[in-house]
Formats: sequence, C-alpha cells, structure tokens
Amino acid sequence: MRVLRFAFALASLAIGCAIPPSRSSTEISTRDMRLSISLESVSTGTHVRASLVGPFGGFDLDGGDSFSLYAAGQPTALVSDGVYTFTAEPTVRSGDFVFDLVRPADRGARVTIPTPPDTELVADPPTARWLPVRWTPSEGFVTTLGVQGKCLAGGTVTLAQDTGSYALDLASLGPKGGGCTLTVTLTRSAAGSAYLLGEPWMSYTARQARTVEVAWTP
Amino acid sequence: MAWRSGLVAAALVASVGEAHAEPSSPDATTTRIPSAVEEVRMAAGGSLVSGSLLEGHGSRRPYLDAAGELDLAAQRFFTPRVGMSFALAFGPTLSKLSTDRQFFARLDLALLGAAVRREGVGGGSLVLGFGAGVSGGDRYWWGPIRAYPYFVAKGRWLASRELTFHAAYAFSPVDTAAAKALWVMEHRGELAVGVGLLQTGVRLAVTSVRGGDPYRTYDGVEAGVFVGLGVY
Repeated sequence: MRVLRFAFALASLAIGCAIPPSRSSTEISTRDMRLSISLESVSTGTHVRASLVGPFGGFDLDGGDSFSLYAAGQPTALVSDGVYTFTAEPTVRSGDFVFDLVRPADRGARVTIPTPPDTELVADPPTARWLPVRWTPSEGFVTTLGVQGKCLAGGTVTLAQDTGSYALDLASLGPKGGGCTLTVTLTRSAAGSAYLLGEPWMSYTARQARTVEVAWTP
Repeated sequence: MAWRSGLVAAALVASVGEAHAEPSSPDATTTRIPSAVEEVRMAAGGSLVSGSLLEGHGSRRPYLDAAGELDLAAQRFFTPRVGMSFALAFGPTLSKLSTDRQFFARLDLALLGAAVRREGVGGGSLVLGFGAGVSGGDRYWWGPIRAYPYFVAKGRWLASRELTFHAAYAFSPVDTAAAKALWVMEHRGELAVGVGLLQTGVRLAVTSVRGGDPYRTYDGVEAGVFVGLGVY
C-alpha cells in the first residue's frame, strides 16, 4: 500500500498535482465533522435538509458508517445529493426528529430536534377591525403571525406568549380601503446547537408554518 | 595505527623495488586503502515525502512534499571498537498542500561500537550504536521541534581501494510528540556506493504516527537520492 501511495505521489508530482483528500468518511474523525439541520413543517409534511461536512468538504459514508433519520419515531430515508447534503420529505408534521450517525470505528452521535406540536390555523369571522385566529399553543418557540392582502399593507406580529389564539388588529396593518382575501400565516421557529466533547458540532433551525385565508370587508 | 604504518612501509619497499619500472595504474603507492569505519562526508540530495497527516482531531489528510537536503556527516573511532557519529542535515521543504513548509534542520549524534571490523581491501565493518537527534522546521508535520532517541546499524564493504559499499539503518521508536499523545516510529535506511571520493546512493524513510481521535496510524514514506564527497 505504501509503495502504491508513493508511486501515486511520484506521478502526482510529475504532472503538477497535489493529492486530493479522500472522500471517504473513514478518513474523517467524527469530532471534525459538522452537522447543520433545517426542518420546515408545512401542511403536507416536513422538509428536512441536513448537511454533514468534514474538514475537506463532503464525503461518502463508507466503512459501515450510516446517517439515519427517525421522524416522530418512524425511520425515514435520507437522500444524499452525492456531495454533503441529505434531504427527506416525511409526511410527519411534528414530533421529535432524531438524526443518528452510526460509525463502527469512530464515535457515533445522535441529536434530537423537537418541533412544535402539530396544529391547524383557524380564522374566525373577522370584524371591521379584528381578525381572531386560533391554533394549538406551544412553548419554547418564537411565534409570529403575518397578514397579507391586496387591501392592506400587511405586516407581522411577534407574540410575546404563545397562548394559541390572537386577535389581529387589522386597522394597524395599513388598510387601503375595500375588501379582499387575507392570507394569515402562523410561524413558530427555534434554533439551537449541540456540542460534542465541548465543541460546537451541530446547529439546527426548526420552523413550522401554517396559513389560512379569510375574506375580509372593513 | 600499526596496520597503517605497515602498509606505508610495504608501499615504500614496493616503490623502491620498482623504481625503474614504467608508470602504471594506481596501486599501493598512490591510493590509500579506505578505512572500514572512519568517514567524513558532504552530500546533497533530494527526496519526495508522501503520506497522510493528522488534521483536526483525527482526520487523515494525504500530503506530498519535495525536500532538498544538504548534509554533513562524520564518523570517528577513538579506539578500534568505540566511536561516535555526527550528522547534520538541512534544506528546504516544498509542499504541494501549503506554503508554510519551507525549511528544516536535523542533527543526530550517536555512540558507536564496531561489532565487526576488518581493515584492508575485502574487509569491512558492521557498526551498531545508539544516540539522539533533534529536528526543527516544517518537514515533520507532527511537531516543529522534535527530539528522539535512535538505534543505528551501519555496514561497509571495502570491495577495492576505489570501490566501497555502504548501508545504514536507523530506527527511532518514539519522539517528543509522545507528550501530545502521538506515538512516532521512524525507520531510515540508506544504501550508497563510493567510487574514490565520490559517493552516491538512495535513501528511504518510513514513518508511522499513531494517535488522534479516533486512534489510528498516519503513514509517511520518503524516498530520495543523494550524491556527495566522502573520505574514509
């Protein structure tokens, strides 16, 4: 093996090329990997995107290494783009998303990302000024309500506390006169990180978005 | 030194006896018989260094360096059986991976014992010893400054007054990188042929560094050639 490597080194030097780093995960320490995860829960399921990179960029999982996802307890296939990004589109809309890196010859790592409870956004009949909306409450997430429509300037309200209901003050959102269909969007998001042996190893963002349309006449 | 005196006396006798002969090829009157153990040598060489280095906590990255080297080596025996050696090497190191590898120097000192020593044409020696070395610079990725003990074995065959063959092997079982939980073993070998003062040869060094997280081996192979002037 050493002879082959040296022969390759000679050839590389002769043609003026450096030796490219290996793309095999077996050459990369778990502690040198970095994982970033993005979850976006929508009405049809959850968009999952994870990137797992090493000090030389992307790599192939070899040597029995595996990277798995369990969405709300269900094994979910992660599809690699061949570089370093993994994607999945589970129909699950909430619950714990567990990412499991298993390495027979190195440290494994398991991270759990909580998502807000599943919900639907319900709009009650609006008045000339108020638009009441309801959803399943939660804690630990940044919750915002956004309103858009042709008949008002629109805007976003960040809720100090997620109680599961809120009355939007349409008069404060720049009504232009006349009525239209309003689109109300509830988003709840969180971001965090995890450490491996005292060093940042994983970061994530989790976002839930729900929309509802309602006709409004001031 | 008695053997040298004897040789000189014999040469003088031969010279006197052939005072009226035609000049011929070098013989005992003009060419000194090389020593089986003594040596002073200056050489220049180049080598390629290929292997893998530890990056981060335990990732293995391949590398390829080219190194130039000037070295000065001396081996002196104070008694027929006991001597010492000195070797200084330095030169530039060019890396294909980075520009921070530029220069290195290495100094080795060893105490030697001649297990076998037979002077004269057809003779030779087998010398064993141990010593310590220190290197600085960027040639060795696991430490800008390292010190190490080593064991050495050297062989020499005096094929004729002009032609000599040399072999050397050194083994270093550990170095100061052990303080950083890196266990370094180094094998260095050299084969050379001397024709008169000229000596040329090849070098091969194999290093293995164990450590990191996960614990594994980082190999390196260095191969090169050299040419120099040696007096034995």
